[in-house]
Amino acid sequence: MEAMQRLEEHLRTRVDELTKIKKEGGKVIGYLPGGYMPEELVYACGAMPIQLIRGGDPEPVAISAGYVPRFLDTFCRSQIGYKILGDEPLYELIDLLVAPVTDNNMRAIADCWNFYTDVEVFRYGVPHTKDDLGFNYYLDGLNLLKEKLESFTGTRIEDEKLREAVALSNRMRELFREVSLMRKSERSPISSRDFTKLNHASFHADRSIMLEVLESLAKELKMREASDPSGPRVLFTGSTLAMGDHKILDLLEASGAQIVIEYFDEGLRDYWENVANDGDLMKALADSYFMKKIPGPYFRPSRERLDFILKLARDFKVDGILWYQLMYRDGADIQSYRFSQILKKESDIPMLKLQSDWDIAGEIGPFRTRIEAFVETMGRR
Amino acid sequence: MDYTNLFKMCGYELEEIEQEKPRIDKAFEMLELGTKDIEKALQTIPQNFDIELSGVRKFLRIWLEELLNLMLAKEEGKKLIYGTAPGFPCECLEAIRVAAPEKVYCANPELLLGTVLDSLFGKHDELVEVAEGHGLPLGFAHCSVGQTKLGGIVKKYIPVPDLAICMGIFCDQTPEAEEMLSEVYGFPEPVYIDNCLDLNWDEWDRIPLRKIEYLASQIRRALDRAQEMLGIEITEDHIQKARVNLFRTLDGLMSIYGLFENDPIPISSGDLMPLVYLYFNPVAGREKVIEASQVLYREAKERIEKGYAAAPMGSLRVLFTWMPNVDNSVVHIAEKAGLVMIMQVVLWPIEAQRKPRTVQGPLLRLAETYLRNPYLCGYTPINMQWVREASKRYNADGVFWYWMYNCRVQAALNPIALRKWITDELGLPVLILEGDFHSTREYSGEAARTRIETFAEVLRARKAAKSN
Repeated sequence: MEAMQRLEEHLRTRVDELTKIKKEGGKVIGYLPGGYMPEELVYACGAMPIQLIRGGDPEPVAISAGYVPRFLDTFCRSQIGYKILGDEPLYELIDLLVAPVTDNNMRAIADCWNFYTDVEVFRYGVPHTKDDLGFNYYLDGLNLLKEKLESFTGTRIEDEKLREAVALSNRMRELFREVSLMRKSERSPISSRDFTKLNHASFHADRSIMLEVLESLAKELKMREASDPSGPRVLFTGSTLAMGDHKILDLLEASGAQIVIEYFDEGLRDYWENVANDGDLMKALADSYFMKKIPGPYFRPSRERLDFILKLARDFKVDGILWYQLMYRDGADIQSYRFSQILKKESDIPMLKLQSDWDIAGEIGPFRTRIEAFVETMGRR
Repeated sequence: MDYTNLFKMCGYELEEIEQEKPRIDKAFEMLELGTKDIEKALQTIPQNFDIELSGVRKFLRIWLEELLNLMLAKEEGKKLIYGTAPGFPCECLEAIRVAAPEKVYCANPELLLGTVLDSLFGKHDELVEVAEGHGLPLGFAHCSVGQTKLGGIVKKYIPVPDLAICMGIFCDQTPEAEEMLSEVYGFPEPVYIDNCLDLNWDEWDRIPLRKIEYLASQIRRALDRAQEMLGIEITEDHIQKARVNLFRTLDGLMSIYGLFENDPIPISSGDLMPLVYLYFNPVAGREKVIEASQVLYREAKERIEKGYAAAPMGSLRVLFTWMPNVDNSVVHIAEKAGLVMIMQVVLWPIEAQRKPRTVQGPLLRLAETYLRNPYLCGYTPINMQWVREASKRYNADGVFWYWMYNCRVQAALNPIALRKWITDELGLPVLILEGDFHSTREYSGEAARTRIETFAEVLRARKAAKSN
C-alpha cells in the first residue's frame, strides 16, 4: 500500500525533524497513554505531542528492576527502563511529561521520571467515577494543564487555534473509524498489524502527514480487492498494546486467524467519539475525553468497558476473543475474570487469556502452542 | 469442642465464656474452627504476643468479640456495612457507627478475618487459596486483603453486607475487586470513595482546595447512602465524634510508642499490632480499645521501672514503615537481633500534617488530614519528608522499609527510589524487605531472618565506626 510506504518514509526521518523543531525553539510534550490527554491542547500552543508508547523489549523491563519494584505493570516499568537506557530517541526529545494519573502504575512512571530524570512532569487526576463531581474535577485538571502548557511554551491557547486543533483531531478519529469499520465486512481490507502500526505512528508522526496518509489509505482500501476470508475472526483486547509489542499479532495471524478488531486502553487511539467543536471547548474536551470515553478497568464502576468490548465482538462477528494483558496490571486481570463470566452468561464466544512480561524468548513457545490450540478450537465451532 | 483456655488466654472470665457460648458456638461453626484449631491457637498466640500483658490480652479479646459481632450482626437484627481495608478514611464507618450503634454494625471484614484467623489460629491462608480459584488467581500479585474478603464470602465465613463502601482513596485493586464481588458474588453495588493521586512534585505541603473538596464530597456521598439505608441522619457532629474517637485511639497508641524512647524498650513493637489495626477498624467496643491501651501503657511504665527488657539494652533504632497484621515475626526477629522498631509511616504526623487546617468543618478537615498523610496521599516526596523528620525525632540509626509486595500503592511509592534518597540525603542505611502483611503464604519472618540480622550487624558496625 502506497500510503503505508509514505508513512514509513516519514517515520524514518521523524526524529531528525523533531530535533530540528526543538533547535528552532519548539517544545516536545510527552504524555502517558490511556486516552485522557487531549493532544489538541498541545497542538493549540504550537508544541509537538509524543505519547509514551514504546514497548515489547525485554531490556528496559530488566533494567527497571534497579529503579522501581517489579510488581508494577510491565509497560509502566518499561517506560522507566527506556528512559534510563536512553535508547528511545523520541523519549530523549521530551521537554515536559504530562501525566494524566489513572492508577498507581501510571503514577509510578510520573514519579520515576521526576526522581531519576531532569524532565519536568505535570500531573493531573483522572477521577474514577463518571458523574458531575468527576467531570468537574477532570475539567479543572484540563484547565490546569492548559495553563501549564501556556506558561511552558509561552504561547496562549486561543479559542481559534484550539478549534482548529479539535477539527483536525476529529478528522483523524473519523478516518481511523472509517478504516476500522471496513473490517466489519467478511473480507477485511487491512491487517490488524497495519492498523495497529497506523495507530502507533499517529502518536508521534507529523499530524498533517498522518492525515494525508489516512485519507489516501481510506481511498486505497475502498478500491482494494480484499483477499478471501480465511480463518476465524478474532477480537484482540486487553490492557496495553505497545509500539513494538507485536508477537501476539504475528502469532495469531501466523496461526491462520484474522484479527478484525482491537480494543486496548493504552496503545490505540480512541477513535470512537468526536469532540464537539462548538460552545465551550474545554468543556467539550472534558465531555469527550472523560464522560463519553469508554472507561479503563480502574474506573468505578467499569462494567461499561466490558459491555463495549462485547458489543464490538458482536458487531464485528468474531469467533473468539484474545485477552492480552501485561504482568501485574491488576485491573485488567480482575476484569478478565469478570468478562469470562459475562461471556459464559451472555454469549458463546470463547476467550483465551494471555499474560506477558515481555520476556520474548521464554514466552513465545508457550504462547504459540496456546494460540494454535485456540485457533483450532475456533475453527471447529 | 473446649475453647475455655483460648478465651481465658484472650482475657475472658469463665462466666463470660459461659454466657457467650451460644454465640461462640455459632460463629466457630461458621468459621469451621475445631479442636485442632483451638490447640493450634493456644500455641500460636504466645508466639506472636506477650500475653503476660493484660493490655495485650484485652486487645485480643476485642478482636474475638468483634469477629463474633460481625458474623452474627445480621442474625441479631443489625444492618451490616462493610468498608475496605485498611479502611481509610476510618472516620467514615466510625461516623456511621456513632450515628446509629443500635441499628448498624460496620467493619472492614478482611482485617477481622486476617487478624483473628491468622494471628490467633494460623489458618487464614485457606481464604487466600479459595480466592485464588475465584477471580484473584495465584501468580498475579493480587492484594491478599482483597483475597481474604473474597475467600471469606465464597466460604460463607462472613455474610454479604447490606451496604458496601469501597474506599479507593489511594488503591486501585480494592475497587476493582469490590466490583467483581458485586457482579459475581452477590455483593451490593458499592458506593465508591474516590480520590486522585495527582499531586505535583512540589505540592506536598499545600494540598489544593479542589482536592480537599473532591475527597470530602466523596465521603459525604458514602455517608448519604448509609443515611438512606438506615433511615437516620449522619451529621457533622457524628463526623466530629468519629474524629475524636479515632484521635483518642491514636493518642493511646502514640503514648505507648512514646515509651519506646526508653532503653531498653518495655514491650515489643509486635504487641502493638492488635492496637494499630483496631485503629483501622470501626469496632463496636471503641471505649474498650481506649481502656485497653491505657492498661498497656501502665503496664509498660511498670516494666520500665522494673528494668524489664523486651529487646537488648543498647539496641539500635530503626524507622519501621508498616506493621503486618497476620505475622509479626519480622518484628520479633529484628528485636532479637538488637533493633528497636519505631513508628510507622501511616501514623506519625509530619510537620505539614500538624500545620493549621486550611478549611473549616469536620468533613473538609477530615479530607485535608488524609490528603496530608505521607502514606495515604501516595506521594513520594511526603514519604521523604516523613523519613527526614522521623529519623531526626527518634535519632534513628537506619530505616527498615518493610513493604507489601502485592500492594500497588506501596510499589508505586517506590522503596528503591526512597532508599537512594535516604542514603544520599540522610546518610542512613536502608533495608528494603518485601513481604505480605496479610498472608503468610509466600513470605515469612523466618525467611528474612538472615537479611534482618545482617542489617543489624551493618548498623552496629557503622555506629561503632562513627564513635571511634
